Amino acid sequence: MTKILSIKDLHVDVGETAIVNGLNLVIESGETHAIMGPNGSGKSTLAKTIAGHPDYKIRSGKIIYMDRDLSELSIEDRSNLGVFLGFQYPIEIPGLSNTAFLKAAINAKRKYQGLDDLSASDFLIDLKEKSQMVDIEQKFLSRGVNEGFSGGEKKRNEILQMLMLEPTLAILDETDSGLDIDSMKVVASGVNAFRNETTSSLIITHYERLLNYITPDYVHVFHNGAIIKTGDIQLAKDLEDRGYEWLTNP
Amino acid sequence: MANQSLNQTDHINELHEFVQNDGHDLPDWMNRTRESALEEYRNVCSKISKSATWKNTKIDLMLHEFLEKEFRGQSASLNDIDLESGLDDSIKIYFHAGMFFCNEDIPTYIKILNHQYSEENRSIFDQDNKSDRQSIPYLLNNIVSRDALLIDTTVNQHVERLVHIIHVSSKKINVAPRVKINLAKNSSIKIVEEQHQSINSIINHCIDINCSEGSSLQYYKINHPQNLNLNQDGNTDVTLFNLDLGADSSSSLNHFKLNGENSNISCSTLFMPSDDRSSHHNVVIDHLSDKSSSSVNFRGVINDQAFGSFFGKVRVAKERRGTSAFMQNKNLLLSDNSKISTVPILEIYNDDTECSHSATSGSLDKEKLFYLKTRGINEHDAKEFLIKSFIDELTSHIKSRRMRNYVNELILRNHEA
Repeated sequence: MTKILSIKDLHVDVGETAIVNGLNLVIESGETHAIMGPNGSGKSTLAKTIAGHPDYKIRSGKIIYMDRDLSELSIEDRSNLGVFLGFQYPIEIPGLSNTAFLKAAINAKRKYQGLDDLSASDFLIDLKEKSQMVDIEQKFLSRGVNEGFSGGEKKRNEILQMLMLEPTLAILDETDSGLDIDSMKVVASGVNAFRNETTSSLIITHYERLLNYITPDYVHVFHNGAIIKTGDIQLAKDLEDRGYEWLTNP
Repeated sequence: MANQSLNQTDHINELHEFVQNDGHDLPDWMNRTRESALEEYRNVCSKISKSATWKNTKIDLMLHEFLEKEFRGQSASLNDIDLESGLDDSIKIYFHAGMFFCNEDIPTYIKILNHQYSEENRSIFDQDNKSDRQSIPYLLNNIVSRDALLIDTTVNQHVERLVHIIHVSSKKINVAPRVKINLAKNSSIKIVEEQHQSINSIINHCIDINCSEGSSLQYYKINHPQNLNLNQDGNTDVTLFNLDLGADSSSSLNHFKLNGENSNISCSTLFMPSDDRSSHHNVVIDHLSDKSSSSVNFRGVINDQAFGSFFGKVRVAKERRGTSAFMQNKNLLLSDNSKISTVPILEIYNDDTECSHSATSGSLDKEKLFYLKTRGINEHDAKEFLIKSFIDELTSHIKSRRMRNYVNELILRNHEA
């Protein structure tokens, strides 16, 4: 197994406020980790910090991805090296079609890797296959990015982007929020298709229900910007039954 | 204040001298029209410094260029000028420094009136709007115009070929002929009017359009801001698209009158000044009939030290029912030094109307940039994508696919230059 992500004593501020306070986490290849926690515990801050959002400042600590210090890499280089962030609130970009966007993203990664652009036919074959996996109709792909998409369609579109970009580490920030049961099954099936022995996932969620379809290797409980307990899927079930209070306010 | 130079006697004297020297080969009635316009212009200038409507326009610069440059110069031929143009199978009508030159056969519904035409056509120089805001361009047009273009469709005529009017300026000055378009009952036409090869000030381009019952017009202005008066009878449908890449100073004044029931106007403009250029746009819509509808959509992309402005006003009179009006202005500021002024106004005096207006201005959305970058797209390309998407939201609504492609190509070419 290879160490994919290693977070050491991480402290993150947003403006003057400390959000992440001494986080430690190691993710190895092939592993799926789930982070659960109440609102405001810092889960999304962690996701955005790994992706490189400029408003989230690392005060101290390290995020090492495949032996590289992420804080030294631009947002786009992190992506091109295989870090993918699935957004909690996917952004709408009217006027830029999903197809053009995906093609640009894939070719940016290929350029970074020293490869030629993907041929139009290979791109379209791949796009057709993967859009079917997440139940996105072809007509949606010619629309602006997430333009006029329902909540579920936006989340499925995030999973489509993940499948197309073939990252090494997928961070999915509350991908299950706002999904009906059918959409959740589709999203889970897309994530499961992505999982293999060389890839890793970090799934951030409020609820145990997504984990009924994606079985994590580890479940972490996040509170006040740090992990306060780690367990397996049984921990998620306990949280569903008992809430967070028995851990956050024992 | 920029407008103060308008009161200078020298400026009027220079125009007076021009009228005296330029008119020797013109018929008497035309010289009289010029002199009368000059007199009126003198009166307007004495009041214009108090006019708030000119405050955003570098009017002194425009007039300075107008007078300083030898805009007549020698006559041009098609061979002298690099005319890269798509739209190959269109009817092309060329004007150089406001004067017609072309060897192509022109259909009978298009009339070129040169400076020797008879007095019976002088009505083409009349203007029905005497406000200060509109008079300056119209009066300057009257003072210097020689040729005129008249497009007169016949009843039930549907013109299939695109009419492409091209203004060329090889002498760094944009002087326009007077243009008038009369659409007869139930006729239709598509027109493109384009300014080639110039970023210099544009001031005296004027056009009057009258649409009779049941007629339909698609009108595209390419880098050709101008002064447009439009009158629509009942059941008419007019679509205007204006692409303005900016000039030393440019100003467009549009006045649309919806005179008949079920008249519909849709007006979109994309203005993109950069460097220290400016681009100013004014539109006034009068709903003068029941069940008339208007849609105004202006977008500005302002870069470097450029300055853009939008002033829009929709008026619905008290007795007019069942009208609908939509007005939107969105602006993208690409540098810390770029400036925009936007004023959308609704004057509604009747409850039986559906109206909305909005204006937004700002820089590129940081969250959108972040989103694109998380997909591996670098800062430069991400910004380009967002600018393009902002533009495409407007241009994607151009009715004609051919014109949509043409406009997008011009934008791309301008961007690469």
